[in-house]
Amino acid sequence: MGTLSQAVINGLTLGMVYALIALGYTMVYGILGMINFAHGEIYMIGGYAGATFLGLWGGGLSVPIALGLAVLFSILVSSLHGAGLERFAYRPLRNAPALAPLISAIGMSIALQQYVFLTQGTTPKPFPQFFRQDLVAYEAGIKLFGGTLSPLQGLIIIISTLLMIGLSLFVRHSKMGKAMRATAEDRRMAGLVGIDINRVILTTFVIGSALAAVAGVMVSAYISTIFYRDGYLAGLKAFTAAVFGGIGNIPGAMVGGVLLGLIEALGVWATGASDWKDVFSFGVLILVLLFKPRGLLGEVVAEKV
Amino acid sequence: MTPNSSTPLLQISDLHVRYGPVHAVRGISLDVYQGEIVTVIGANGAGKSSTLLSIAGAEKLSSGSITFQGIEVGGKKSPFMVSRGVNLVPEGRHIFSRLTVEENLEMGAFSLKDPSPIPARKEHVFATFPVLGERKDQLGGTLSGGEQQMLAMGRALMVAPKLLLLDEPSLGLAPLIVKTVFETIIAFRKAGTTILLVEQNANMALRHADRGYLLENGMIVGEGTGKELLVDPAVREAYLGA
Repeated sequence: MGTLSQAVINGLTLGMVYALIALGYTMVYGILGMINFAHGEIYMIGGYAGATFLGLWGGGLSVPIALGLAVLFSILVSSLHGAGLERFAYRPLRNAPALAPLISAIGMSIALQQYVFLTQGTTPKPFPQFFRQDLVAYEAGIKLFGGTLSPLQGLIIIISTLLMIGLSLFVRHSKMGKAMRATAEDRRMAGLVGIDINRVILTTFVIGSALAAVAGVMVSAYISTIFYRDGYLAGLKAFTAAVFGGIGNIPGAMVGGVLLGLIEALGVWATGASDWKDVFSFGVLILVLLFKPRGLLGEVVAEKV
Repeated sequence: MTPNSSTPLLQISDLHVRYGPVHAVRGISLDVYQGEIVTVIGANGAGKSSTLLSIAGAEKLSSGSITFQGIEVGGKKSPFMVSRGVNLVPEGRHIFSRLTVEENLEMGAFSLKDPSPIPARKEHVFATFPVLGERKDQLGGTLSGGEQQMLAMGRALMVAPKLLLLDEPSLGLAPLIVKTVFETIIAFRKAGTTILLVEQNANMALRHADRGYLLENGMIVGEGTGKELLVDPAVREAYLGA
């Protein structure tokens, strides 16, 4: 610990998680032009769902199977919540002034936090230890330039990378992915060619929620607890990552997330001030907004008339 | 021109469209028969686009009736209308500029449940507009205005529509390109597609249309064959600048 390479490993792990959550923000923004401020809560609910599943039903199963089922369960729970948000909190406001869905999103963020608080208790929920001990064991990790990549960190990086490759292929090549890009660019025209806009938007929320759920399970395993307030800061960081990369831009969210994680970890490494890590993140947000408001990969596409 | 059958392919009666306090379409009635090219001409703001958008299911009609192939379709949404064979090429083309030319065509075919005709139709579009074939991997936004108009029409052809609604296809295009666009419209009709065309370029529209309607302030104020309207002194003064 304390070496540069350890900071890079930790930052990369964190950055991958930011990227997964940031994708949900950026995809929804790309299609609806709104910030789904309740997205952090979807991530947090995913963490709870995973931990709850393992606590209740994980006992008799082998570790990989239990974890796999826990991830699937949390994807299901988070997707239902994400789809519910779209259907009941945002769709009725689809043609309202832009401020209305934004306020609805903030309201839903608070409502979801309180609903988890009321049902899940006032203390952080521990991630079942049985599943953690092998995964975070640094002795079992790979030594890299004086740092150690724990099995769990390796797993987070690999799973996140695979999910991001999968998402990129889906958006680029599948019929629904193309419909999502078409809808993001020109919703009315997408309707005119026969695309069911509501289905595309719902799918976008489900995909974003599923990615956040995986992130939620991985992080709650990584930091060993999950709490109803965890979604707020993680959501804000991921939102920062999305803006950093260029909001609405899918590769931008991936790059922004990874860079933000690295900046945080390297900032702490360089200054030794771990209390300041949020200052580094949000300092980045301020700098981006000042000097490159469209973000790293955000660009204006030339449109001829 | 004599109608090909007794019931029109498209029949609009007493159509009204309102946007809040604005009463854009005030009781339009018109018929389009199988195999015709029908044009609606009128000044900017006469209600032409609103009429087409409400036929295509993209704009709510306030009252009135739209029947297609004898079935009431007023108020149906675009995905339904596209699946019935009614397709709109909107004013300003609305190409998906961040999708490639080929992806734009694929999106045109989105409503097809069975994807098997898609490759042949793509080839058909590329044969009709060779420039699109040459640029199939380019982003839509990099095409010129004329090429975008061709792509917009090609995109609509991907579902082999029965009725093609064209909103100002010549707008902003060079005269030579306008000529190509109208030649293409004639070719579509020959291939069996019925066409309802809205234009400010009344001269070109009336010369190519079988019949035309004059639209003013949301109301039909005249109708006749293309030839009749072209020589009508009132039309010449109001729309042809003669």
